[in-house]
Amino acid sequence: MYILFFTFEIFTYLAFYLYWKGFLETVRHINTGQFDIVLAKPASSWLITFFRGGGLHNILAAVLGSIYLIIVIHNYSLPVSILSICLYIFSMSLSLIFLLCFTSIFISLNFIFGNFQASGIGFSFQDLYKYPAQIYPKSWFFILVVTPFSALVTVPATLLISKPFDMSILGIYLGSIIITSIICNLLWRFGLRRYSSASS
Amino acid sequence: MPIITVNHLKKHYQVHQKDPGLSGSIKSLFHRKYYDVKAVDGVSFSIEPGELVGFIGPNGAGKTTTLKVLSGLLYPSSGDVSVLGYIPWERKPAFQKQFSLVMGQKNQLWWDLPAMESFLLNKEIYEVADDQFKNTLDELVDLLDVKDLLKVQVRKLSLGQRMKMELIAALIHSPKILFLDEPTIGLDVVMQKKMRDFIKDYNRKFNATILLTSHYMDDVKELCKRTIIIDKGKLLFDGALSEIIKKYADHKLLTIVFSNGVEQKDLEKYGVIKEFESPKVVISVKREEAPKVAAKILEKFPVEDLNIEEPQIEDIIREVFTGKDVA
Repeated sequence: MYILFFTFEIFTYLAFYLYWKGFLETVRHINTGQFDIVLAKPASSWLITFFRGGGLHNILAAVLGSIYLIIVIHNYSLPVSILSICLYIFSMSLSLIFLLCFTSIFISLNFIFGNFQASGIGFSFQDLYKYPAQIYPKSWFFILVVTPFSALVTVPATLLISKPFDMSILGIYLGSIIITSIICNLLWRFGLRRYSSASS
Repeated sequence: MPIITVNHLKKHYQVHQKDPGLSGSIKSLFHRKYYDVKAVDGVSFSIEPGELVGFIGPNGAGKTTTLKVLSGLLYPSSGDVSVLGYIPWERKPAFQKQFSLVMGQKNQLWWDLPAMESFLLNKEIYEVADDQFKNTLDELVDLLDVKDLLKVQVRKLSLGQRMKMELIAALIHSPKILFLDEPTIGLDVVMQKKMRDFIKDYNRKFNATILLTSHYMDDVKELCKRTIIIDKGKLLFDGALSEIIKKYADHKLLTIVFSNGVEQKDLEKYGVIKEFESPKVVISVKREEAPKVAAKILEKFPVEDLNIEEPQIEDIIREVFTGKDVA
């Protein structure tokens, strides 16, 4: 539970640090026409607009979470290896990508519907990924909606301490990341075609 | 060979209309009313390399929309556009690295950082080599005289200083084409002159093609040999500024200062009285009759001074926009 808890801390505050400003600013920029400046640049508009970074307090909280995690691993002599650390970092990155893609899908709706406040939608599901994915039932609703979120923290935490894995959860986790990334990419491109800027 | 070619460009929008209030909001969820806006409606022109072209029109004429299509920000409804041999809305990086868009009312500089940080970011985005970056930056900083401001937070700069930094950020990758959308808006007269001088120098020195939109006629008069006038999405005129006068103003203005008082009714048969503040009178007469009318007035009245002038270009443009005869 400690591993899960501190992984949740690290994940949440890293996400806030990496994306929060970008999410807020992107919605504003799309609706005010400031997005023109981003779109004119020879680089991925998606990357430029979302990765803005911000909030020293967020990165400090993530670092603190990492310190607590190391203390817990040490105190309880948990079976952590170089491979498990690498898998932990890799899966955390995948989880962060999922959160970004998921939120980006809703932010893309600003291109189509105008002012669509969606910046915090990924963070609204915090309560789902705060708890182990295993506690949720295996009905269609949970598999399609809840488990992808609950796995965001459960998978990295499980990989870190090399615990036996529920492969169905891993499968749902990887599948939902791939599907979300594809939908995000398609919707962003579709949204860019519909982008009408704002009058000068 | 033209560097920019536009053929029958159209950009139409559907704009949603909503009744005010909560009931209007609920109604619009189920039944949306739209109206069509023809922002650009069949515009065609081409621009040769190194030209400095002014693009003028009233608010809502379609100037900025055209610029946005040319820079690939918007997809057109129909028509063909080619800029540097590329289709702009495909947004190929190779194309985007060769042009720059400066919008007077939008900024690309990071607000809380010194301008130098934004320049370095642009250097990486546009993949500018270190030595080229240094040379270009030094040259632009000298031209715009902003050496002491490079390390100051952008939000602490004045509007004029910020516009200079915006220009540097836009030119750091030495673009072949520069789209300037109202670059002097909000600047004082001194700064406007400096900006114009810089744009002129840049065009001359680097042979960059510049397409400039502005509401200030001084920008167009000082900078642009060629002017495109657009109104309600349609191209009204494309040619030299002096040609506007010949095409739209078939009259000349006689400014006369009389030594003695003259009755207005005595002058009405010579032309249209534009201004009557005795002893100074301004009469509008047909272009071809101006010398003859001037001679008759000199013969009949005690004249202290007489000038034959073209109408002000601003007045001509205003009349073109409002659809009135320039008389």
